[in-house]
Amino acid sequence: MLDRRLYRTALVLTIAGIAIAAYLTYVHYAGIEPACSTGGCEVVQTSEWADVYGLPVALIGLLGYIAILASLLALRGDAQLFASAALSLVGFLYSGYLTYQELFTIKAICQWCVASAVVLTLLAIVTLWRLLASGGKPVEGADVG
Amino acid sequence: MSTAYTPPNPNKRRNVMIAGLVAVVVVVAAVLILVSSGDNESESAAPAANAPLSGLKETKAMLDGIPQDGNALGKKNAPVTMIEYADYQCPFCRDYSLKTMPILINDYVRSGKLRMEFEPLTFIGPDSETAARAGVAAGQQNLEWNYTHLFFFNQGEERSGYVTNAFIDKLYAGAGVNATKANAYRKTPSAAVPIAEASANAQKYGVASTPSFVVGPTGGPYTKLEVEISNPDAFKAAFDALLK
Repeated sequence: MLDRRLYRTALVLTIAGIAIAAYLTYVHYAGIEPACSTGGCEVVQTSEWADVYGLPVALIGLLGYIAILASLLALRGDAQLFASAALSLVGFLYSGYLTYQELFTIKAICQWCVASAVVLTLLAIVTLWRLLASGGKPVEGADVG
Repeated sequence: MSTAYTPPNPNKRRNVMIAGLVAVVVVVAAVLILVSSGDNESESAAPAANAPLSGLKETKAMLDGIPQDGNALGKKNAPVTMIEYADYQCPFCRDYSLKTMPILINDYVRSGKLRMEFEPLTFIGPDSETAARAGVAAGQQNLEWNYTHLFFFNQGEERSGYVTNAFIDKLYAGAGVNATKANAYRKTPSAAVPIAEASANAQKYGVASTPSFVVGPTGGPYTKLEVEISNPDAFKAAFDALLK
């Protein structure tokens, strides 16, 4: 069943996103350098876009992923479809903006941030696909794992 | 929401809901982006960050042509070294730096008789730590003295949270520091090492207030200098005694 597959894909993507964002949040608060093959992680993580009113973007991302996971696990039916798609799309647009800043303003690449942007892009596609494909039919919920 | 499975006109209602969702998503994302890009303006509400940088000319005049090496100012082979223990937030450190120190640098460091080292202490609060790390990072580019002097010129109120990224970026720009490199360095564990060493050394010399000074022949041993910080002649007498 297509929806079941998409639902599981969304779950896997969300858990991957949580792992990435949790790592970056830990690195931020521990004040250590992230493991980085692109050489730009520290530059990106300490840039003016790395926090919003003192709240690190990594933590905002982590909270966003947790909200997506919660919407997938705790909600049912249309509420789940709409909430997960809305959260993923916001994440996708925001991470797109941050990736743009990385490429054209900071001119440094943080592989972890790019990985998170890819995860959010895929999540946005999958959750939007589920929303458009379901057409109001019942969907996978908390009892599916 | 479970009633959505059997609506009277499911397709039409769904389309309206999806359109609503897209609108909400765009608005929320736009707000997030606006808040992000407006971050610096909001931070600059701190008093010192909004004001134009002062002391640019004075800093340049005081330091131009004098070699720097990390936290040290002056020739390596200068016969006498004085180490200053200071907290970036401390107003007395500012007074010493702006009034007494330029005279000492002009009369002793410039002529190669004295070498000065700056050791940051961070007892006043988190802003001191941020400022000190930024100073260590500037020292990686041998511009710690430019950064530190500009910092004291633009010092804000203690513990007011004025040492923001924007504030440091402005000082870096004024000091000629490569901000991208320095900002990356100042958050690494390496940037904390000289601060920990400064604290340990301060304890060793019995430093209980800032600014405090130890002085001696370059390489040591150093002894604590008990002088009135607003009196350059008291410092000069100590240097002259060591230079004899």
